[in-house]
Amino acid sequence: MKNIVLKIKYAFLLVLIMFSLNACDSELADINVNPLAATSIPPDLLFPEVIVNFSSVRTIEFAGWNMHAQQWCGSGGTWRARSRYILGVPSLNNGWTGWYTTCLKNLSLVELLVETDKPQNQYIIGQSKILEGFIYSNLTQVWGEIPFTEAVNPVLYPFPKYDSQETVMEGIITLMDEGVAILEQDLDSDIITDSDLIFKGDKQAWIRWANSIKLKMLMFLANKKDVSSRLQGLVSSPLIFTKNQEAKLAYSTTIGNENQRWRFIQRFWGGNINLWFAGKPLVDLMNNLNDPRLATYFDLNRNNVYEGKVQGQNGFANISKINVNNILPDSPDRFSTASETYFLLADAAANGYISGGLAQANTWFIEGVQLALDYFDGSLGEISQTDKDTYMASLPDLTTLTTAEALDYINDQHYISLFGNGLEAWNLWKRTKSVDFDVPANSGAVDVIRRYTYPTNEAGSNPNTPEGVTIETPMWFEK
Amino acid sequence: MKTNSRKLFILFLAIQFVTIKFAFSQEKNISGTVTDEEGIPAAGVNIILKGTSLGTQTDFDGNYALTTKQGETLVFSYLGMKTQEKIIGSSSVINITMISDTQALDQVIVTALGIERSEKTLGYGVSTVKAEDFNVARETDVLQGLQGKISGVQITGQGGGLGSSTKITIRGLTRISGDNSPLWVVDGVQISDNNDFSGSRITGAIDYGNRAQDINPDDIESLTVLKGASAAALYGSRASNGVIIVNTKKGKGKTVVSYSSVVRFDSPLRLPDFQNTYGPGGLGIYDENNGDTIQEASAGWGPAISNGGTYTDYAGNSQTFKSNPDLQKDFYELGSTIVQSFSIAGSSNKGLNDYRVSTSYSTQEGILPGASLDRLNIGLNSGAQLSDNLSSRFTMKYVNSSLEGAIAQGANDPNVLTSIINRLPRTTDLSVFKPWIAENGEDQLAPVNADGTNNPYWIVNENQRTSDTERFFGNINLDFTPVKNLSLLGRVGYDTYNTKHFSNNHKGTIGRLDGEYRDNFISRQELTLDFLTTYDNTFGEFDVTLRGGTQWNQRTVERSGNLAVGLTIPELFDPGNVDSNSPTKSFSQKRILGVFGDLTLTYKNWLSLNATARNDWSSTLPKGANSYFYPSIALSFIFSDALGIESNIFSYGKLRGNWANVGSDTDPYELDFLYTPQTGFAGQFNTRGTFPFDGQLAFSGPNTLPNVNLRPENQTNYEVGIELGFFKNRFTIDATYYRNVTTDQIIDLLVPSSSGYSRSTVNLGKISNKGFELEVGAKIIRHKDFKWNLNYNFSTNETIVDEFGQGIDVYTLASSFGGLIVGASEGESIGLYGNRFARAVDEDGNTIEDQILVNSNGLRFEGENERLGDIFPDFTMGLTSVFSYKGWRLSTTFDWKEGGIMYSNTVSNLRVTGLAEETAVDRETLFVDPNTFIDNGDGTYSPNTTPISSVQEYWSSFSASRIHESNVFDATYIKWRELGLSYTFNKEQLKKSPFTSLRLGLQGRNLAIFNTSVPHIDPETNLFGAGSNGAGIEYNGLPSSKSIGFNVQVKF
Repeated sequence: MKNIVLKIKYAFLLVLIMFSLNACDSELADINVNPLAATSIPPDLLFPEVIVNFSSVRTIEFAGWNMHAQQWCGSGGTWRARSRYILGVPSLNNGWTGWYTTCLKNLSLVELLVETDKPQNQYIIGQSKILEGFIYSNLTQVWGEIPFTEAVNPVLYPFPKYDSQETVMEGIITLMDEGVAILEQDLDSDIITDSDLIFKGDKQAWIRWANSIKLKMLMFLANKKDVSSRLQGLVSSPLIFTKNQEAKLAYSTTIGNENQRWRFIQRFWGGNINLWFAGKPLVDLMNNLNDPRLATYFDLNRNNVYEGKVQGQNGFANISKINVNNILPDSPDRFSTASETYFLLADAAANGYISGGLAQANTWFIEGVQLALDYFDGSLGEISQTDKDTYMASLPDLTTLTTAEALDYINDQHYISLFGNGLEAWNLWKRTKSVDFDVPANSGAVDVIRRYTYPTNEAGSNPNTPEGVTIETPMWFEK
Repeated sequence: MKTNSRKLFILFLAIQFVTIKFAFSQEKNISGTVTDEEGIPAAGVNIILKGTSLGTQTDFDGNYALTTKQGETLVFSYLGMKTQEKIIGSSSVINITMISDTQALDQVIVTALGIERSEKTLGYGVSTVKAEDFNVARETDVLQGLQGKISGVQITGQGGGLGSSTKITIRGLTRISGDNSPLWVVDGVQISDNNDFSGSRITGAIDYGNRAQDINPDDIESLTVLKGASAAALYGSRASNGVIIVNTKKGKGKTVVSYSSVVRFDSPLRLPDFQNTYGPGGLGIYDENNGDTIQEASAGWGPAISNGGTYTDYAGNSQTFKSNPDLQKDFYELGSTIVQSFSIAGSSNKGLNDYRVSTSYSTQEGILPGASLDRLNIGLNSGAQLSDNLSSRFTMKYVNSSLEGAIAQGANDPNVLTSIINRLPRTTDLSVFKPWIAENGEDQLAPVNADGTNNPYWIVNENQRTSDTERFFGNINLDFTPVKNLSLLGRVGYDTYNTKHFSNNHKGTIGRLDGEYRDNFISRQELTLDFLTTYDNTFGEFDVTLRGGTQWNQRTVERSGNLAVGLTIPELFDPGNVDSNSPTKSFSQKRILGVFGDLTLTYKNWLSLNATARNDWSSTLPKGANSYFYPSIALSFIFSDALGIESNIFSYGKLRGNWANVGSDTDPYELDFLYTPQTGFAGQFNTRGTFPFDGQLAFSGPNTLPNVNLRPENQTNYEVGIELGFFKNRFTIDATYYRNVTTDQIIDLLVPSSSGYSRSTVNLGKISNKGFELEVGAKIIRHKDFKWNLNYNFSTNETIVDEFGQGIDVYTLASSFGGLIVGASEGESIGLYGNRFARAVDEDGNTIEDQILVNSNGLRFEGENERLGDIFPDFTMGLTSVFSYKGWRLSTTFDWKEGGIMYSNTVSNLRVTGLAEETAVDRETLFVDPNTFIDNGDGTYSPNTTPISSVQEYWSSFSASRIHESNVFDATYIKWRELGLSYTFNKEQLKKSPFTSLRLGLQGRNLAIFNTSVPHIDPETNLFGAGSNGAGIEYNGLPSSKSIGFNVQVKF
């Protein structure tokens, strides 16, 4: 018995020694390595995160843009709130934070990883710059003055300053020029292919997109300053001219990869569109033109006609709903389209920013309308050839009109073609005011919304955030 | 390391079971009776064999028995009595009369690392709650049982959900980011009090409780709260939030089998005050011919119910308006709490070996239909004296709990039930919602609104929110005394739990029509190795105790989960049965190594100095900067003894003071810049999609900018206190003033998103707490048969955020909806920030506080987002009264919380929908909102003369949830926490029964709320849960419950 006790004592002493040995554990810091994350990755892997999250904001978070463009009208809940300019604190934060942190931050890391690991892969930098510029263009079209020159550089600029819209737009043009300059070179460089969900590594496609983005930026700037020579230079550059050249994110019927508008109506309304109705200005315009796309865009109301609603009003019994054709699992998020290129060129020509006058404007105008009608070929909502021909024939020859009248036609067609792309339709209105918008009922607003207010997360943490900006403060580029 | 500890564990187990059989010679059985000066049997007197931890306690009749050896010394001690020693001679009976000690209020307190110290010598304040206090009206959650009983802590329940968390903070918030929960230590082992939750804290937040609820209150011998950092300094980097030390019961004396049972019934403590006059509709009209439907109509703004109109109900049947005043009351069910506890305890081998085995099974049925919580606790605590100088102890607790029907709070989730129930028109007959599911098992019947709101019975019956937890914690320790005055202690403590959280939205749930489920598996392990050497000696008038040791602690948490969307077969919750899966996984591990020393010097029993030092190395901080040193010093001076004051009026006086510096490390993996694979992408309105997208994987950089230069947090504490006893210590006062300052907090600071990151990990800021605590005890009547004791405590604490870094206007601790946040700005306490009514501004642009503006319709509207007030109370106090007469005992506890504000979304809902009682007053009177102003548009304002357009519009604007100011209330309340009436049968009465003890009782918990200005709801509620620093916001919380029942306790 005594022996056992003795043994236990020795065992105990042994234990104490073990304790003190373990106590010298110098491997403390070595366990502080997360086994579920990597410290370096191929830059390609960041691209899908950027593109898809960027599109998610455009597609569903800010679906209210379609209400601001007065093409859609919300009849209840969140969507009526958007029609009444109640933007939702979380939505503003999600959009801004998503674009700056998830998208622009990861693009900066793409460039960092290339420069650190494989600096010869300059094409990837080119792709990244163009995508970055497009994201900034969306940001400034929503918020106006935004951090640009000091953005996404936390070490040097923990509190980025806000740049004027002119600086931002000029900066975007520079990014496009730099991107194109890289991609036009013949380099021994990899390009992101599979992870490039937009063009699958097609260099020419990226160049066309960059030029189209530049065209759009220049048209905003043209309201304020002379950019004629730069616009003229673009005319002969590669631009997005056909449907298959357009920049878009293709959603699909693959589960989890569907367009989020479709996911929304599926999950909340079982596939029926319940709260998305037609906006009055667009329906009135299309009714006047007897536009064959009415049936593509909208449902007939109970009196078998198309009727839209003034934003913010109640009572939707006689109002047309958005046609479900536009909200399919594989409906793409269209970043830049061919018809948009033609309408912008026609606008530039009619304004005299570029040569050719109304005759050239008319050519581009016809191309634009034709492409917009043809867009639905082979899909639900396809427009018959007869309807297309009748409609094309009904359009006036712009050379017979005054410049103002011609511009009105161009911009009205541009506006109609942007259905579902609320951001561009809303900004087209800001730039041209070609369509008469209503101030929403029951909203307390006295003017049409021009911009979003800065989100609380940003305003609360960045002392440089401008104050006194309201949703009705016009954008710098507005005439 | 892992294998080492496992071997160690097995070794210890072996020792335990082998040695329990040993027997030793030269033993002697001693027994006797202990009485007090009045000859009353003294129960609960501690009898310890001097120099050991062996001993027993007297029973209810003052009897004790133990086994020892001749020549040993027995020490008899009891709070408020003089400690006496008796050397064992030839007699085997030792009777003692305890003499009340006018000099000292001494009891043994278990302090940091399990070190037992005499309370007299402590230089800091502690609060202790004893076993009997948990049994007055037994709670299944130990924290709830502390409500109102101790000073310096703030305890807040989560509302009425079963198993939901209870938040405790000790001496205020010491950090604005990260954990403020105290460290829990059970029998010397650090255990987890994690608050696990799934999904968002505000969007349909499901709170699965904090894990301190796993402790079985029936096992608790004593619970001690170490409030200040000085008391806790030996825990080093884990000391800054205070420590709660639980000691579980041990076996003593002869074998006692005890059984107790509690049966109580629960019902809502407070339901809103509804109007029962008006039905659904708008502006007094409900007309289905004009397009009104019950689904779309406003719930309470329709015509008078007594007009007897008709409507089509949710199931499509035509109904006549009829008021159902008990609608909500009928929806909630009668809940129940049944607790059965059984234990066997005693000692063998004549007191050398002791054991206690306990088991407790509690079943609760909630007031929410289908909600239940079952918990099984099994405990073992056994000790063995292995030889003259070697002893061991083994404790083990096993817990298995299963929760069904956890509640969802917040908004934007179909399962937030309170907002459905409270917003039903007063004409609703609940039977319309039954049945709730079609025979095909997929389609919902009678939804409240097919575009947004589910049938409430669908939610409670088809959508589950469950949690299952299995937990084990325990320790083994060996105590070795190789030579006199020196002892070595080695201890292995282990705590592990596995939890599975599951929630589902049945196919057909509005808002989640395709059906979905989410599961989360959480596994946590904590291993602590302690080694402690103690040298204890007396040199003349000095008692010296010197301790030194090391502590090694490792915490590992692993989580994996999946959000599965689109169920094919409705109730098959398998990843293969769904359209898309978004799996998640996380792992974290951290280690702390501490080396510590502790010196206690006591001079003549009236002056004590205690100095401690600890150095920690943490794995979470940068190499080279991960070592930090924490000192503390405490002084206790019993001036009544030092000055020889001895009078019947003033009996005891002690001054104490201490200073400590402690700190805290951070979470693992905060230093490296990491790329993480993504399984899904963002999607507002629940449209989240999944990667791979178009076959492509996605990675993302961090959203929080890591910091390689992090330093440990630093907290400095000061505390002074005084303890006074009067009238032979029948009246005692213990008062404390303290101040703590935390600097260099490790904060994931919200940074401008335009910098590319949402947050940045930095050392920042300064936050301080100062406060005052008072505990008063009074034995008002002390007679042979009659006794009346009162215990009162008072606490006040002020938290101030003294400093922030650059660019921070308001720091957000937690955010809710519509811009309502819990935040702080420099120089202020923690408060709510939200939208206020629009107000006039003067020429300098300053708000004119008393000039609230109205619009052209005479209605108030939303103004600036500003501070609404402090969330913490100005003071809290508790009062416990125990009155006993012979075998009768009547005990009750009240709890008062004064001040602070809270926001209630429930109140907003009730008022905006016209369902609150106050909205039915004068519905036809179009009054002018008094003392409001109109903006003339030119910088001037004139008094408003426009009457409101309707009472409906008045309340809809006034109480709109986005105008937070109007839904904020003073959170003051008084709660009647506990009431217990029991009768203990005496020996005489039990003579012919098999019982040695029998007690019967009636008990009630949370019986009433008084003195509150919060309408409609119980102000004690919290949207955010124990693991968040958010508080002061109610968002569709479930009503809390009151509980009344009876209990039986028998011993054999």
